[in-house]
Amino acid sequence: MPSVLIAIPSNYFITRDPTPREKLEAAGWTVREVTGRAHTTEDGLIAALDGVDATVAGGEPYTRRVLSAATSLKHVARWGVGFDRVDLEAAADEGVLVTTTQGANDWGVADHAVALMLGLGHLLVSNHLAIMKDGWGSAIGDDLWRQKVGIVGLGRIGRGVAQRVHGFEAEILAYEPYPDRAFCERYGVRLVSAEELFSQSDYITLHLPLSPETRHFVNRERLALMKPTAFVVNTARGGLVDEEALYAALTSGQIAGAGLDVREHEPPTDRRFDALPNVILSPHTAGITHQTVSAMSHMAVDSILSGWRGESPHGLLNPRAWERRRPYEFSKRG
Amino acid sequence: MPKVLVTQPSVTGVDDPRLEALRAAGWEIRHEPAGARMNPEELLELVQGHAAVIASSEPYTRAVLEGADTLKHVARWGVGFDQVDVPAATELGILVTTTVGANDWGVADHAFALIFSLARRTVENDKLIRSGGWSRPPGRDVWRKTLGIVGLGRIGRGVAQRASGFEMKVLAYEPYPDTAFCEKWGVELVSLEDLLQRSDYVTLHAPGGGENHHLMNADRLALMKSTAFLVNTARGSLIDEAALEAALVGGRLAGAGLDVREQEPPKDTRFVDLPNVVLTAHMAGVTVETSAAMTAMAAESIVEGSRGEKPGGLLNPEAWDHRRAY
Repeated sequence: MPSVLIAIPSNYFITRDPTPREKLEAAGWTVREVTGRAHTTEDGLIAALDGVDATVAGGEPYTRRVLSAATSLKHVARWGVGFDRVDLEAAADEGVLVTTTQGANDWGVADHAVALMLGLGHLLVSNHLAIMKDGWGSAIGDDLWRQKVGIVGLGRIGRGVAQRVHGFEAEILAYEPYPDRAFCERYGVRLVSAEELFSQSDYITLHLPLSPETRHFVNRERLALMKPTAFVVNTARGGLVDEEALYAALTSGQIAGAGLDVREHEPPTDRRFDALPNVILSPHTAGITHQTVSAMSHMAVDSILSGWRGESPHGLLNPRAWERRRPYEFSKRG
Repeated sequence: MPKVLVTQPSVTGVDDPRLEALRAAGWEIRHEPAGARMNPEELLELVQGHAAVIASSEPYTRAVLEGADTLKHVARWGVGFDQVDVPAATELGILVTTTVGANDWGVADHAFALIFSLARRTVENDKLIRSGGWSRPPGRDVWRKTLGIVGLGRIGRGVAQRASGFEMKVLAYEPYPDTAFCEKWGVELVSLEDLLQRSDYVTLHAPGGGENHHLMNADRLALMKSTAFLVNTARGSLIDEAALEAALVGGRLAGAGLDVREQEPPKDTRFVDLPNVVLTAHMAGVTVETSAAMTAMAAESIVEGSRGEKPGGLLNPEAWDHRRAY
């Protein structure tokens, strides 16, 4: 009987919506859950993967060492869209399928990016805290309506943000090397250089993957281009922002504020941001709503069951692994 | 030289660039933000000798208006006028204006800001992280959910427009609807009861007072889904706060976002300990951009009135023909 390891917090996969788990069990799979954080190290993960056929994966490290040591593993189904913690080449070499749940949470991330823009502009956290402390407050916010929103990366999520802020009649700027021109025309998106985007926007929101090229995309030089009244929002990956440079920009008044759903280290080790009144922090939950949690869990389970049945799964990141995939021992084919 | 009193605290001072219309017309400007918190007796003393006022939320009672015999124009900075006795002003020939239209986009933005802070637990999660936590509770979608707009005036229509970007199903309760608008933006007109039963988010954009007092009472709150959220950026009197508190504590409502309160500042600490309530201090319509626009509009309306032109935002056109002469 094949077994799956649920490596994401169980309250996402198990408690809220039991149907993804029931689907696995109905297919004859054994469902195991991780406990604690031991599996977040390489050695801990290797131990947790003993006898496991597939994982519904969180942010634990699927390095070459882990993938070659976990000989029973056939499928890493990333719950979410990021895969910077999975060595795709090593997985292909080992014949381990890697999928993501791309498309099952992008609307949540796009919603959250707008939530952070509005939260920053309308001072939601600081105003609420002032009322808690002093009973009332006086504060002046900043519009989103008809302001300039700069979107870095016009993939599915970036396009979703454009569609949303279009309802606020925002002037939309985007930096995107491979743009969908029909989309840009429809929503009045003006394609600009990164420099122009940083120097002109009132709100800047990041929607690009983390790679060696995009690491610290928001660096000291780009922050220096921003208006002192502008905000930056990151719901993509923490490594896109040089936090040292951002902290300096936030404390010197170089920029107005930041909304950070993701951090360079998670949970954050740099606690200095906790004391800043001009940031809004959220715990990497942009893509996590009751609705996206169900959709992602179902997609991860469906991709695992497809692979097990010998069908190329939806969202496969490393097609090279398909022809050399590790066989399931008790596979029911056809 | 006519004198204008400015009590609105967010005007930066007599040299605020948005008061240019008054300066250009030769007005003498006095800025007295403390006036915003005065009682009628203090206000009457302060307002003496002024021809016009750019007013905050201080009380222009009949006694104040009768006593201030130089006063010709109360230009309310903002859209509310429950602190001005408009019938008395009309009787006395005092023009009353608001800066209607100059901040509605800010209120519509703020309604969405509150919707999102509830859906995505913005305040709660921020507080959690700052105290060292990193549990990751799921939020709720806004995308393609059902939004109920109570009152489809300028602000309610602005909310509907914004909701279109989130592909929301928009329901509205409005006795005098702009049907062309509803058609254009796909707004379904329904009864208030239907709206409350079907919506995931309910946002209030109706005027306060009169029969709208406690529009959201215990019975109407009970119609809402237990997973639904209520947002109020209109007037505090629209909600029976005791009934709302009971619904929130009893788990019959998922949360509330309140920019306005029955008393402002509130005298009680109601809602302060509830994690599913987000509070802001009546600042929905107050942004850098709307403040500037409201100050400019108030200043221009005073100059217009003084020149014998009917001012923008005039609430009591009945006063026009017997207005006090400059």
